[in-house]
Amino acid sequence: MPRPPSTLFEDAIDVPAWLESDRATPYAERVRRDRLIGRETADRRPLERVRRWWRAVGPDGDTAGARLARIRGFVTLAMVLLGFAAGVAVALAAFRYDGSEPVNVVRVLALLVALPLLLLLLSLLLLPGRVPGLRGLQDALAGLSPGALAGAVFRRLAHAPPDLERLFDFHAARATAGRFAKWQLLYWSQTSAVAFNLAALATAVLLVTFTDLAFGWSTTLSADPAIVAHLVRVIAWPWHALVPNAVPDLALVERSQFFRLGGAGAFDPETSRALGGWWPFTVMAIVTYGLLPRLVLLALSAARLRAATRALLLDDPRVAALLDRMAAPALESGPAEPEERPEPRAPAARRRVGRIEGSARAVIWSNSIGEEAAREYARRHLGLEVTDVASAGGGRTVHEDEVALERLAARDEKPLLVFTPAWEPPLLEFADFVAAARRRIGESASIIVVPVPETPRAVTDVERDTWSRAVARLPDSRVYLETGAA
Amino acid sequence: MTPRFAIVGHPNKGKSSIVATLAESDDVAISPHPGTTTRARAYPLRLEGETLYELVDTPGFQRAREMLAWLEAHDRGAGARAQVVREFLTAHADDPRFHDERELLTPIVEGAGILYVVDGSHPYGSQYEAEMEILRWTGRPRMALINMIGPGDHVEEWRAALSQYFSIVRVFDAVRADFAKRIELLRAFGAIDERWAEHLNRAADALVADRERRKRAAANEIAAMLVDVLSATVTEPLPDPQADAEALERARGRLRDLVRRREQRERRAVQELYRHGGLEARETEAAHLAEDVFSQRSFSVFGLSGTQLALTGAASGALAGGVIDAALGGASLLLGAGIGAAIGAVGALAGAGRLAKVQVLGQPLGGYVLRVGPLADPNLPWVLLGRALAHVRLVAERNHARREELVLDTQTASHLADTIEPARRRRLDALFRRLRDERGLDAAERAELAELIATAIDTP
Repeated sequence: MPRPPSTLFEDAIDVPAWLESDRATPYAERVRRDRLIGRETADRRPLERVRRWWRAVGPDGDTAGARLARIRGFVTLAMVLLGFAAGVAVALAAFRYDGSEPVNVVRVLALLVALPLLLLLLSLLLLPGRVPGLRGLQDALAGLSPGALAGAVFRRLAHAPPDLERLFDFHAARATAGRFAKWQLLYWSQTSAVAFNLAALATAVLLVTFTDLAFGWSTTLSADPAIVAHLVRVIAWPWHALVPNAVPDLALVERSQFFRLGGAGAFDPETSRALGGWWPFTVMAIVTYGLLPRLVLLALSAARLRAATRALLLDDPRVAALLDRMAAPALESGPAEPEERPEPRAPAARRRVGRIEGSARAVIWSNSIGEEAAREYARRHLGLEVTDVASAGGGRTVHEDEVALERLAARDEKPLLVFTPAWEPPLLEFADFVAAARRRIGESASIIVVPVPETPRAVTDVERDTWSRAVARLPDSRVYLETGAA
Repeated sequence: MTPRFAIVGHPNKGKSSIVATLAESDDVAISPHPGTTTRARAYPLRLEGETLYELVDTPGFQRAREMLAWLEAHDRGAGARAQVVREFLTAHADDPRFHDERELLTPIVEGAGILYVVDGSHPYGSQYEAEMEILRWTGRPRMALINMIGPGDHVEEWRAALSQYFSIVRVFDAVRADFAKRIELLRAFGAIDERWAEHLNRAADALVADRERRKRAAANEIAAMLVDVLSATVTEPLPDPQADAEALERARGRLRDLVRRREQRERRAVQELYRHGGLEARETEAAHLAEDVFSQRSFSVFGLSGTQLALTGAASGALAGGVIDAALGGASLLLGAGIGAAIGAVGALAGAGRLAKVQVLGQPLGGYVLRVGPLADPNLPWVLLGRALAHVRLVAERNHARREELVLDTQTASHLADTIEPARRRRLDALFRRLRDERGLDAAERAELAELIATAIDTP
């Protein structure tokens, strides 16, 4: 039964790890399995093919990927909450108003627009790959970013193997993993920043709605209100057409300058109402310069993180090999049915010990040796004088073998030597011949099988062993093996 | 019409070796002792479920002369001989004495072609004539293969005898035949019966394509190993910001283990690709492959020599300097290339003694870690690549009829880095440097690395 769908991140973690453990499965079996699934998804894109394959073969139950995904979700939520809390705190500080003096617009802009804008610009430095001259700065920024903190928390919680842990460490990860680490870091930073801006905005709107705020501007610098008004118009340029009343005019700017010396507080209600006219401007400034860029960056990070996760899965060499297996034509060359276990081999044969004195009869089986050579071999190696020699096997017929045996058929005690070619395998027709010889020469005479080597070499161990076992299989206790080589 | 071939002959003449080689199967039982194959067993080659051809491994003749005597006793003329063979099988259907003859002749009377196997390293003997005569009686198309099991050479003697019974006689060393020879033989089977040629050519083409795929997969495995090893780092927790010798040694030990394990994993994967999974256990015994990757001897055998290393470094440096020259339109009088070459050569040699980078890092949540790696020696990638290439070439050419240990010939392997063409060596050096400098490889660079390795696998 197919598994329930998992997220791309889970698959990017689980599939390569599973493929690694799958190496224990025989290659042919893997090809057969993957090819079968591959055939069903031949017209799909690689990512979908891999993920469908995973749904078909992946294990049920909790995976390492699912666990890491949960921790990742938790860390993301923590980053949102952290950003939100910071946003509320900073907004409360920026809009602090106890009636003694107006809320300084310059402070609001500095805390909620200029500072976040500066941090945003620093974040942008991380967007391109590693720039040679800026490498030190990029590394430092990556270390200071809230995303890096999130990565460290993740690593503490996850206790993952080093190669997975590295995915959440900007400094350690490289190439595909490095791309993932970078966008994960930026994604976490942006979630936090968006939460910060939303919280600041919500706090501002709530304060404006439920409390009275009077805004003013104050500076030590000798600033002409006309210049300040011009500056304000420049800042408000992005929304001046969309929200015209969020652009303070020169009159409001002139009226809202205050000096702390001599006391600025205790405005009359009409002045207070007039000075409250700044609020659309501050809200729009937060939206335009705080929230919107962060939203854009969050969307970009999310998209790039997805692409990096996709690459994490598809660029993995094990997954590339899987895709090859899925696409390869099914070429199989194994046996049609499983192999039967060979029967256990017979034990080695009896061997005659010591020299036999006297004379013997001899059969040259399958042209293994010349007649004179056979006599010489018997004399030198076995101490036997060959009296009669016959030839059998080879190109002769079975009937000719019988005739040859007839010639040697005297029923006496003389052993029968059977010279065989050591390099040829003992066939069953040889066993038939030995049995026929036994019938001809009677029960008492020994039959000595003598495998002779192909001149000029000696009988090899394998040849000796082969003939020895063949002789041992014969149902005749008076058949021996003698190779002549001690 | 699907070609089917019965591999027949005397026992223990390499029939199963030929099947193992052609079917690339470790499942075929092979033994120096006769009688290992006791019944006919089919080895089909299937492409997308369609059988392109089938080999049938069979036991050897045991009582050929007795059988031939029966056939001759029942002879009704040349036109009825195939029928007489069938009658023999029917008459002896339950006779255990002719079990092996029945097993080997049944596929033939059912329509299989005959591949008759003899051992050309031992002399011809008249004992073979009865079985060759029986095969002639079947009337089926047939080819004789002279296999070479031992050191002797009786090929001409055999050829003369076999030509009396077979129109096609070929020499095929089942144990040593390389892939090209196997494909050539497969196509040659088509000469036995022209109706089979199309299927056999398709089978040969499919095998060649499959071989190419396996080579690319092996190159990917080697590339992945190189990327993993050359970018491997390990970290050890440090109680204080000073790197102590013990932690450093621990970290280095872990790094060495990591490299060894990763190399072994690559070896297994490559062997699996070439269907040599069974060699795994024996590989560790192969002395040269088991040698410590960091040993001086291994470096001198597989890596680049000091001069080669300096030259490769110089060439890469010159290439980088050349870019500056090009940008300046030659105004630099090629100083860029010259200086680049000098820096490259000196850098490559100076780095040779340094094994791994060592850094002490602070962690965001407090504490210090010692980070060791990546391995910085510029010769290491060449050592790893040389060993991997030596291994993959051995495995790729290794025949499935060979069952003994995989032994790497260090004399041949010692020149592996030389066999890579200089331009490719420069590109490889640039990719290795990226890894050493912790820049990593993207998918395209990784593919390029695999491509360069695939080409190097081919280079003889």
